[in-house]
Amino acid sequence: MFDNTPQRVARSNPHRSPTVAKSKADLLQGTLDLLILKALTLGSLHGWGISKRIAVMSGEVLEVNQGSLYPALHRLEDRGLVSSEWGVSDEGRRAKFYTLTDAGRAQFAREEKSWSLFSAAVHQVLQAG
Amino acid sequence: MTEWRRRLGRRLRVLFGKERVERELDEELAEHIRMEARELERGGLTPEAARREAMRRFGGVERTKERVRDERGGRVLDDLVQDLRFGGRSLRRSPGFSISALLVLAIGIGSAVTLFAVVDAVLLEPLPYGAPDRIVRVWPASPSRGVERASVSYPDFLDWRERTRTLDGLAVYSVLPSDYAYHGGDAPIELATQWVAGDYFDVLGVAPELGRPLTQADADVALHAAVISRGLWERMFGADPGVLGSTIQLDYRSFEIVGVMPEGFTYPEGETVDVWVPLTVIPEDDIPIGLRPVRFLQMVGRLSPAATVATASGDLADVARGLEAEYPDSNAGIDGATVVPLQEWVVGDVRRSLLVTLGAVGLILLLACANVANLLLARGTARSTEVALRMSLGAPARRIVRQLLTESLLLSATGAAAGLGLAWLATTVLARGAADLLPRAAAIELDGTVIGVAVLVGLLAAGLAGVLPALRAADVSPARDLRADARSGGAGRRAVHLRRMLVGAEVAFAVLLLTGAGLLLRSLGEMQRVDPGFETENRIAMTITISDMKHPTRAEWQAVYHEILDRLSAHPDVLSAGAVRYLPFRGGGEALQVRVEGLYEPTPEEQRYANMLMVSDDLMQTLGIRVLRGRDIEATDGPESPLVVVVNEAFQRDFFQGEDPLGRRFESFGGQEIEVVGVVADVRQEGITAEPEPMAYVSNDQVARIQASYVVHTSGDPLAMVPEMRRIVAEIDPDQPISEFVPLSRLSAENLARPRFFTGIMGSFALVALVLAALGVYGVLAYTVRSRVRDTGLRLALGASTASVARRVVAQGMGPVFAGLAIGVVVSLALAGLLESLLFGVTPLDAVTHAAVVVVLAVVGVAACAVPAWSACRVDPMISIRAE
Repeated sequence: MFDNTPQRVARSNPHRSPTVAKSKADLLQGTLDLLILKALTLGSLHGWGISKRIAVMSGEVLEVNQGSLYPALHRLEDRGLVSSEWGVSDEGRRAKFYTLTDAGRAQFAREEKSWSLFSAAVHQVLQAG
Repeated sequence: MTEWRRRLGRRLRVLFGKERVERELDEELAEHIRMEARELERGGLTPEAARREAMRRFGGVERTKERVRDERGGRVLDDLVQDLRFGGRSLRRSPGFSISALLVLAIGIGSAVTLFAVVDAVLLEPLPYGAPDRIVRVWPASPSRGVERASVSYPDFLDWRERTRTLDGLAVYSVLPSDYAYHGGDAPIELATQWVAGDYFDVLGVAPELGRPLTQADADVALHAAVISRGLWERMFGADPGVLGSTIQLDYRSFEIVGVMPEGFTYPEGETVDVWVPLTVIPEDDIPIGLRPVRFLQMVGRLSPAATVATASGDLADVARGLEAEYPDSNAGIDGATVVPLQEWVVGDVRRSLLVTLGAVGLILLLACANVANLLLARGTARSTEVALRMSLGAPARRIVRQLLTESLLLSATGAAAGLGLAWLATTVLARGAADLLPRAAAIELDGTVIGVAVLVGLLAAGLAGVLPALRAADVSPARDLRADARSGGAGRRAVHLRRMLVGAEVAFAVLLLTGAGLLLRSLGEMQRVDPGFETENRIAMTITISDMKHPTRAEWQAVYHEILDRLSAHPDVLSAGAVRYLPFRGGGEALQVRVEGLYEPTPEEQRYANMLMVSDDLMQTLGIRVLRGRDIEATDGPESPLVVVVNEAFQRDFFQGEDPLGRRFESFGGQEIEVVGVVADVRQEGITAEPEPMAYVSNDQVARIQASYVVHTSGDPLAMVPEMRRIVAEIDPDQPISEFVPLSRLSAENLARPRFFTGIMGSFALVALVLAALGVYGVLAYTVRSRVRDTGLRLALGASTASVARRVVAQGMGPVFAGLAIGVVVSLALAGLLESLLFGVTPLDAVTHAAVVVVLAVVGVAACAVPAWSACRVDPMISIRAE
């Protein structure tokens, strides 16, 4: 009713895009969680080490984005699947080490199985005729 | 379980060890970047380049941290604490706003909680008896005569108890004249005594703490047995557990104590009972309780599990009809029964008053919320720059709304706490002071339920006051609101629209409250204008029950009565003295059957009764009751002379069809002839608001009663007579206790106390409403004027007169006031019917009240506009135009 019609349109824009981005992140989350759990089955490790280990284990194909890695680690810790502890790194510096908990191990076993089924199924679909 | 506990522990750590958690996150991320850089260095980069590359690869550190914060638990709590801290700071920064909002909320929430505490105690809390919802009051009824609640005689009661199929127990009790003299102490005192029969204690479902209850078996043999209250046991027997079997002297007779009731047990009517004795110990020559027409008892019963109030009414009406057929002489016309749950009966006519007041308090709460919402809106507009800044820095709107809501929650929580404090004060005062005004007043307290309600009310207030302003405040666009000064921006304008609507609503609420209070006030005025038919000034009454145990013959106790009267009359300060059984305004009296040859010859079913009072000669003069024709009762109307009666105008109208009854006779007392010797003006025996009923005054020498109220009309302060009256009674009989002294002015005060109380409450609510509405009008207008300074300055510069500027402002301010008035009057006309039963001499649609309310609110509205209008006129065109 006043002079603000253009602003009204402009106003609604800024908050649209994060919503879309978030749903993409959700899609990746499950996979990332699985990769982190797998990396930790080989022993306790700090965040940087985890990202390196995943890179190495995937033959440098998968590169973990740090912006996702740390939120994922804290989320897994909140859910009790990993625990954390300050320790000393190979270089003799203070670093935060993550360890798989029993619950995390069980979760990994479950997810690994369903992932295998899933990827086998996808593979089969792609191979078909 | 442990998982849950571990997680909670972690959340609390995040919440309270927040700094450490944050520091560790910083360290963890920094270490990551360092490790990456080291690796890059090993790959051949210079340390400086490696560091830059590592940083680049990592991306936004702050964004990562924010996402980590989101992922770890406790984010919501974390934000809440942050918001609370922020809210607290920002409220402290604007103390003017905070204090006014707090005050308004405290008053709103405080009065709501207080009223709820009263309603909870009086209406909702179950009575302190066993399965109280099964206890009912029971009355014989005579629908053909329009009598719903009659007293019952002892023989009728025994038959009702025997024949009912819907009650598990039925009891009778009497509250008249039930104070027994006790002479164990220094001075004779009276103990509040209740005569009972039937299953009294079983019906109430409370067992004695010690000993046994009284039963019908005790009544059957007129056993001199007594059950005493816990209080009396402590006061008089030092809580001696061996009290059972000992005797207590009551009215010169020995009663064996057989039981002690637990603490707090008493009947819900009248004063706290000290002693219960079987009804049948009443001497037959005192009250002939064995006769069916002698109806002076009240019944209380317990519904059997299968019965309802309706089935019990039907069943007991059958019993009444059976008795009517068997004993037509005494029971003709008594062919119905009324059954009412005990709680409903106890609460009685207070119910509606309380519910109306609760409605009023709800309106006050709404008003308070509207007011706070208004304040918040104003504040939100003033803060739109801040909000815009925060949003442009990336805070989502949701987050801002939450933060603003937290602020109003903080406000209303503090308001609720303050309101609870107010309510605590108010309930403490009420529990002590309102005992005469409200049934069960002593039970008024801030218990868990009430505090729970306070919390709910606080939340409700936060929601009502906070949601709109928060949504509105977050509705900003950084682009717009950072560019322009917030005041001239669109957000401010839109908020003003909302605020004007709120002001309209406030005015409408105020109309409702003012109308309610106005109608009650008018009723109270009408009540005070009523001519009670007797004088109260400089008069005091003393009630005494002469013992017919100590003075066994009628001649003996009548001699005591006459001596008291003579000695009182002879006192130099006494202008006149008289005695009456049943004081005016207190109600009561005895039913007198009337049959006037040729004028009123009813069948037994149609029989109506006059109210008979026993009086001394000179009573009319002492009470200032006007003798219209004929003569007063005189000393010569003794036991041996012919029975005479003085009647009132209502009697003449109802039984003599308006013809002059003077010198005529009518039939009563089973055929006895009575001559009418005088006609007096109507007296409102049952209270100020009760229409006068037909009255028959007979001489206490001809129809004698041991209890009487001795009234003296004094030349000076009536209270100064109290020691004199005590002395006179003690000189005549040192063993004679006195039940009560009451100045007659207190009788009318007692009568008006409840209407005054509720009118007072409604009046103060109305006043609060008026102030809140005025504040609302003022607040919005003052804000509008301030935000339009430049506009006003321009007008003035272009030659507008100050008068036209002021007119514009007032017109703007009064817009919502008139809208609110119109809506309020329409709603109040629709709702006024709810008040009908509380009004006296005024109709709910009373034009005077409605008109007055409109005028008062309009005047207050204009007054609230005056200050902003004045400041608009004082705008200096040059300064205001340059200012922005």
